[in-house]
Amino acid sequence: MSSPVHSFTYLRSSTLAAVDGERSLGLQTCGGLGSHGLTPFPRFFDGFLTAPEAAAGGLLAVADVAAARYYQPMRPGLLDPVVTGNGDRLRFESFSACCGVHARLDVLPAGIDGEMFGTGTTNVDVNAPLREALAKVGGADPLHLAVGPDDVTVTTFDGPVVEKKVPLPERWLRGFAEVQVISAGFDLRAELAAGEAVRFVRALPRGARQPLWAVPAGRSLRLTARPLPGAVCLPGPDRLQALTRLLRHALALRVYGPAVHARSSAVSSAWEIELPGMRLTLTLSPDPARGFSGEGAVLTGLAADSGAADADLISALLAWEPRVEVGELAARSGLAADRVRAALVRLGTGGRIGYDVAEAAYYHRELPYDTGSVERMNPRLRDAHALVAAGAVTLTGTGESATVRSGENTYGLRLAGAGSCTCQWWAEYRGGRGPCKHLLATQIVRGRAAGDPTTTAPAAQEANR
Amino acid sequence: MTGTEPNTGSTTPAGTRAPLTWAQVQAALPDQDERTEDPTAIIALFAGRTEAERRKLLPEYKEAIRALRDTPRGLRSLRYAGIACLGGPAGIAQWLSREDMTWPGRGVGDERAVYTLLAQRNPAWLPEIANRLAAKMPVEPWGNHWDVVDALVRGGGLPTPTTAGFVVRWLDKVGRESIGEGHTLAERLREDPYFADLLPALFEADGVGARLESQDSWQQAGQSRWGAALAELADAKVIERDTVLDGCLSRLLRGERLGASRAFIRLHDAMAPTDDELAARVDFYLRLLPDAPSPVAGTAQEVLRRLDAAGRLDAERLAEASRAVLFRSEKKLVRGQLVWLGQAIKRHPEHAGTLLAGACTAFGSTAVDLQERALILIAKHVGKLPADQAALVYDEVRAQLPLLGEALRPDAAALIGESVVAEPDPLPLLAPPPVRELPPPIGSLDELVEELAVLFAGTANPWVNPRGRATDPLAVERIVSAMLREHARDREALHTALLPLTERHAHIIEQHWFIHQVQGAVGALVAAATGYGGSRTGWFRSLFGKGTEASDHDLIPGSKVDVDRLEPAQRFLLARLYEVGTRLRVPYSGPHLAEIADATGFVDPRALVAGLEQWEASEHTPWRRDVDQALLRLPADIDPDLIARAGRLTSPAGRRVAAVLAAGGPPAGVVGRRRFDRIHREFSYRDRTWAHSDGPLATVVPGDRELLPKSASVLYDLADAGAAARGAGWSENTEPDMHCWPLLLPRDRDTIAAHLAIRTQRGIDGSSRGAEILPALAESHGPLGPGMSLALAYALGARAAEDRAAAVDALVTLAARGDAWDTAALGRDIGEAVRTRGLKTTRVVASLRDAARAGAGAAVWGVLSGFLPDLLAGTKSTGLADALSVAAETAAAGGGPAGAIRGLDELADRKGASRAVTEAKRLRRILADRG
Repeated sequence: MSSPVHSFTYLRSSTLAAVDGERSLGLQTCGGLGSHGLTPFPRFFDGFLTAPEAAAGGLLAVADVAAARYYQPMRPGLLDPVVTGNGDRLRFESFSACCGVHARLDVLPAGIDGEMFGTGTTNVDVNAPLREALAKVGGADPLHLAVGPDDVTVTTFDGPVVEKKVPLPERWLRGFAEVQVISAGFDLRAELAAGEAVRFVRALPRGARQPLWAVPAGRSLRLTARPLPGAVCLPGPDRLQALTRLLRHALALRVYGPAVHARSSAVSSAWEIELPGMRLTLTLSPDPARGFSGEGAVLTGLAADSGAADADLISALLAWEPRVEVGELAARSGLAADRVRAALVRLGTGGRIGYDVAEAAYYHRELPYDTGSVERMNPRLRDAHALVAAGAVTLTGTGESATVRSGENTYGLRLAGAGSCTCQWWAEYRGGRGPCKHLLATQIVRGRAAGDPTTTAPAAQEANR
Repeated sequence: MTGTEPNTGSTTPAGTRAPLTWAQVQAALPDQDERTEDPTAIIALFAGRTEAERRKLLPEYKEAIRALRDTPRGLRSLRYAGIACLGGPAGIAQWLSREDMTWPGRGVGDERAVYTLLAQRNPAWLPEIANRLAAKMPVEPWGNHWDVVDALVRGGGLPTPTTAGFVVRWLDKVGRESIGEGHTLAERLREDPYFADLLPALFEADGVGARLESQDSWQQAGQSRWGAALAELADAKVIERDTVLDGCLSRLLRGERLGASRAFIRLHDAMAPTDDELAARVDFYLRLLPDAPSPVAGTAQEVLRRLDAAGRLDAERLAEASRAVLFRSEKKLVRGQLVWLGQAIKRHPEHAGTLLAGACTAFGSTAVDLQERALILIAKHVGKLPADQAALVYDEVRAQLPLLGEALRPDAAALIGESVVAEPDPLPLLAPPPVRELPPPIGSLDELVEELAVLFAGTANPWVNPRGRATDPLAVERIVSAMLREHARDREALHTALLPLTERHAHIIEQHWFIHQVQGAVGALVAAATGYGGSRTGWFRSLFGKGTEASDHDLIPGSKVDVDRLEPAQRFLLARLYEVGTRLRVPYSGPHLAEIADATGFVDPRALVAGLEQWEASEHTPWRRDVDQALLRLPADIDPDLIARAGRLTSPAGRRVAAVLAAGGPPAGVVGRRRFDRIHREFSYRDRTWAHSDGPLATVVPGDRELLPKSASVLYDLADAGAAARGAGWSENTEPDMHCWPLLLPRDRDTIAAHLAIRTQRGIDGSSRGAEILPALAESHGPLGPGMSLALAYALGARAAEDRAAAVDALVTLAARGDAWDTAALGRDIGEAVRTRGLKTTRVVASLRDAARAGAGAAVWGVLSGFLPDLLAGTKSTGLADALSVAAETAAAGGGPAGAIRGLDELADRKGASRAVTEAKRLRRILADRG
């Protein structure tokens, strides 16, 4: 599959240099939407990092994930991380090239001491000399950090810009949307003190090919081969490698995951290392071979026809908030909580919403890429709309079952609960990777039959597409 | 080659020549089949031609491409024509990077000809073409990429490209050309036009490290060809030493894969840096300590230690280095650091407190012996320190105390003058896992089709994933019940509902590839219900139509040899499933007798008797394997009224069931132990010797042949372990179906475990699955004996982490359920497996420690009380200290058998301070305290 090439243009390379006798980390930025609108080289922060060594390690860990490919590691990943200025904190995010690991370093208000300039999201240049320089950060001297060039540099600079051209696969963008929906269903399952955390991460087996599960045992976690209530899935333990760099600075390890029962199949989980004034969270997909992009967690939210209008309403209320609570948004917008959630999902597909498991809250960001239409991003949804348009869905019985004619085959669907289908996709994942296109098409038809007021007009449908 | 000399266009007045035609080009092209590619004619033809003339040829050129595209030689013969005609530098670069253009040139001077053609066309294009080709150049050493760029760069006097491809292949080329007589690498490098430009790039480009490593792999261990050559050139002042040293260090700091970083370490070592050079780069080395791979950190540690010995490392840096190394997980590095620290304290008396406090970092180590060394170091020196410095140390010890192992905590507390009784880690409550629930029966045809689709979805292909998905045993049972029920209700409707499946999963339903897997057998059920045999009618007929008394070989398709090779449990399972298929072929399928009523696989005895009554009323004979499987699934306590009701049955099958019911169900098999010598031997190419697989395995004899259903005798006949090992590569992959086995004998799990032990024994080197069903067996029913003990013994030391985790799960479940079992016997089995089969003590002890952490301390102590005498009597002491420490922790917490451990006193009485002796003393003390 070919993917569009994205060109990153930086004013200059990010560097760590001595400025007036003190070390200064100058991270260069490129493009993106902020509170001041579109800027070519946005500037978010100028000040000091209170825990420089841990911060440098955290940045390297985020860059490591961006450069890694945990499944079939043939070609390394090449994308630069993105940084979001959220008013009081900075969030550095990246995805592994296989789309199975999402890393986010949150530099909290306690971890920075300086001035925040506006808010927004942008790419940040990470290059080989910078990696070397970050690896050299040590000791307790404060480290100066500037995210984005200052205005003087932007206006007076006339040298050649630094340009990187890398493929930007759609699935990478889709991953951002899926991660926030999936992790919104997580709860804190275990918390380990520093010493136990170090021992647990170091003792993780290498090369395990079946998912393992971690259950709290005493002060630490124990690995088991099957899910138990309260367990957290650990699919592909090798993918927590990026944490090892930070173990020295770890204050605690927190583990998040959805509720599981004895017959659960592998699920996602989030592993958060607390650092002085910072948090690094790695979110793992349910299988190294499965990227977040195909998890399909957003589809049900997108299929709800009311989404588009609600999303516009909600997006106006976001305002780069570092903590977006569903309840508060519901109160301010006058929408029901589940409609707010569906609207957030829709915004999430464009990468405009992230979810912070540690705070159990959403946050606002705008990915600095052209994310295109929701339909193009989600082929399963597009196929479902095509099935609906072709009149392939027949509701049978009293609305508890349906048949969908797709190509040569007819599939029977049962709609009780989350619904099920007889197609290959559903058979393989049993709903663990979102609804199949047949189920999605049936949901759309049922939603319309139920007389969703905002969507009976075909114009709304067209606008959606 | 005189013909390839550049003909500058100016020598031939363009106006005097005939216009260029494609016919001329074709005449000048190298012949398709000719062995050489002589470019002379084509160079002469195009010399001095204008761009307009060349463009005019493009349509015909494209026509030629279309004609040649699919020929075996491809477009290669158009190579020069393309260079001469194509529209611009980008197009030409793309043309030259085509796969068929990168075959090495067969004529001499092909690259030169490429340069000549381009130079006489437009020299201004050369830089762009060279850059594009260099950027795209793969690092793999095939094709002519490098030679073409080399010709362009040298011919056009261009700057040296420094892309990864160009650098790595230059490295290869130089390395290759300097092997052999008369040449050294240093001499070769001196002459090389690129050397000066590419030297810094050696430390920048990706892939250089791996290539250096592969070149060095031909050298003597630890030698570096490039290192020696660069050192020689540096001594001769051809290059700067600093370039190499700084380059290596930058490269290592950036993070490299292990193999690649070794190459740079050797390069670094070969330069033999002086103390001055090292001191100038001290911060580089310091920063390599925390995160670099082990050999890199080891080198940095050595360097810093050398600087410290020379008095050139300040105490602040020394303290930072100590903390960084002591935090690492490599025992060797930590041990070295503690020794260094002990010496350094004397050199830095004014900072001794800070340095000694840093030693507490090692308390976080997982290795208790390292914790102990750190504690001993502190205890040895802290007394001599002035009060303010000692206070620093005491504070740190106090802060890090909880990290220490329980054995060391009292000593450490005593050191800081506190009488804190070390509080043991809180043990989790041991609770039996929640009872697994049987999902409700399949309620509709739609649901049946769904369940079948799920079963067929994952084709268990061992080549795709050796640990592929597992068959859900409850799903299989529910499908069988639903198929029979729907068949009885409305055969036509079942047929119609299943038909779409026969198209989508024809590879399972029509083909014989999966016949010895549950997937294939269930596929046969679908085929039987739909009458759909596909194109293989003969095979389809062979599947079905057998009577109720058919033998295994009649029922299970496939050759007799293959059926005989099946593992017994799998064979029993398949025979029953194929019998169900036969039932689905006849109009009356009758009540399903073996239908499970709970998740461990018991039938409802009431339903069984009622079913038999129905069979008698219908005057049909019940199917034998259905009856047999139902009998094997009888629960333990049976209502006397029901036994009386069964006594009124009159058919042969009914009387058989009544007899078994009256006897309280079929008795469990008698499982024993046997030491097998020469189970199997295999030539190991790695060790160049024969490897023998010996070790204890189980034996099984049926409890009472009279009561045992005849078809079940196969379950009491273990497979030949040697044949199983030899056939592992041949037989069909039945591993996903193992999860169905516990449901075959829900009241006799030890027999299933005896079968499993053959697999878990092979699992100790990771070559076989099996341990994953141990938790299900632990949750099942029946006596526990040698079968479970042996299967667990091997699984606790399995190579795959998943297998060990499953074994620990099973151990914890058994302990939590409180079933009666001999834990000491498990310990003895482990001991024997360690002695005779090379089971790894360290792995077993780590598993036991996990089980103890999960709350199964009493059971773990029982296991160790059986295992320790063996381990203490053995010659190998690997893992002994750890085993003793787990024993001490669990003996204190759990009850278990009291009494002395044979061999413990001898070890505890021994002199010396090895950790094993210390742990033995501690264990003896705890046992004595317990009384």
